[in-house]
Amino acid sequence: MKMLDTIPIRPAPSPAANAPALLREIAAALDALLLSGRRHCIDLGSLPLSTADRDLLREALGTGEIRMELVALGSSRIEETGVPGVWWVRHSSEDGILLTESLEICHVPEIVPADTTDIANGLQRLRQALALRESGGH
Amino acid sequence: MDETILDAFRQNGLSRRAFLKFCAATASLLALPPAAAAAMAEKLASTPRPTVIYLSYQECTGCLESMTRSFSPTIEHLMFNSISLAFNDTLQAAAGEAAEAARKEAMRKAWGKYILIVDGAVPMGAGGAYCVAAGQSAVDDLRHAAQGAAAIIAVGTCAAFGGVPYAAPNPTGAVPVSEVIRDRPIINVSGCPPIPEVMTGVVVYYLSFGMPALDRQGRPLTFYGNTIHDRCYRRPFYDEGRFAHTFDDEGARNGWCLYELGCKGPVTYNACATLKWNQGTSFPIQSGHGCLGCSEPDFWDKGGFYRPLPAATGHWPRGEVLGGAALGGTVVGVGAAALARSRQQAAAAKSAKEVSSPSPKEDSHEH
Repeated sequence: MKMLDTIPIRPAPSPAANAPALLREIAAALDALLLSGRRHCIDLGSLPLSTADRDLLREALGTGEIRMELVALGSSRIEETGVPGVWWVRHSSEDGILLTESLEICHVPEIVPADTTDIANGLQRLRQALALRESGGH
Repeated sequence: MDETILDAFRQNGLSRRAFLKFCAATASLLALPPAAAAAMAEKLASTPRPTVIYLSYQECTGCLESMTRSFSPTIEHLMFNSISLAFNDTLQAAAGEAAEAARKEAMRKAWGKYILIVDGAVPMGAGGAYCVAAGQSAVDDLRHAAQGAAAIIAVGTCAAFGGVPYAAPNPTGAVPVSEVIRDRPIINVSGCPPIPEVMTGVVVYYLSFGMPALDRQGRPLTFYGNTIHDRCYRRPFYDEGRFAHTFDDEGARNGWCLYELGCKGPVTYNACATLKWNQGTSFPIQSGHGCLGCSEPDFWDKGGFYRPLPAATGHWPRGEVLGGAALGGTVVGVGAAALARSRQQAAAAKSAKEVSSPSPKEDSHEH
């Protein structure tokens, strides 16, 4: 194995071939969001993105004001980029394996707001806890 | 036992967010819009667990090895908790008479409704004597099992296109499943082996929506709609004309395009470049070796893995195979093979007429 280490391997930086087109797609999606409120989602996992592509995307979109961590079926990171309305979403499994990575163009990703059924269920649990407290439980 | 996916979510105290995440991950895997993934999850929730019979013929068990290594936990969960794998002679504990009895019982109970997964080619030579289990030849076994199947998934290039057993001079007269069974829907999931997530993904898709859209080789467009080349991270080097010419030259070390080293990426339809292998770690081209084209028909008989493609256009025509074999002086068994192949060509032409192939999704990267 030592011998293998002596062979110089220098992967050439791949050119940023797809990021420019993606940035135009994002711009068009933001236009649509402003005009009609339509959401858009770009699945980054199914695109061949080089390191240079990713760097260019990161650089052009920048870092925004909100960074959220979702803990459900493993952890997820939801970050607004420096371009308001463009969210970088990474879902990972319980083992920390990246399941899907996408750019969502919307006011707030659909996964963020509390769901009505979840709110009702939570309220029910809260009422039960209150009733238990009043009836002399702990 | 009849637990559905949605039940499982609720019983585990999971929120709608968890459900949406599950949908997003599945949609990404199947290249579906999120709304379709939600519909899929709901369909799965209301569908009773289907029986799956998994039969192995002329094969090396590589496909099953691959399938049991599916890394996506959600899909694995779907597969092994939402289906009832009633028979698989490699995975099950029972053997001999007990195994055959269990299989007959499972098939009887779900007759007409089960999903039949077939792994391996079917040898037709010598009356089917090249592959016999429990006193029954593979071809008789398949014909019987197919009668009770709602659909057949031909897993691996052997089952889909004949694969290695079918390669010249094909001494056992091996044929793909589609050549034995004509009256059941067949989904070809090719690859040597197929990507694990593709196999599980196709099963999940079938359970939710029924037959997927297929290409002219009978493969689901979701996974086989793009060439390796089109989704290859080294594609920009191809476009710039920067190639590796040997495996140790500067181009190879720089990670340039492997086209001139015989990469079959331009004519191979598969999802390796995006889904990758071994928990998304890498795929052949990323490891410095060209694509062998293992998900295409007759990939063994294409005249050399390291010979550059003559031109990067479309699928390889089947006719080339026979011509190549004859020119190369491979005469042993050519008669039988030629017969088998001309039958297959006729079948392929026929099915191509019957199934109008939809155009590949152009925007498959979008949800």
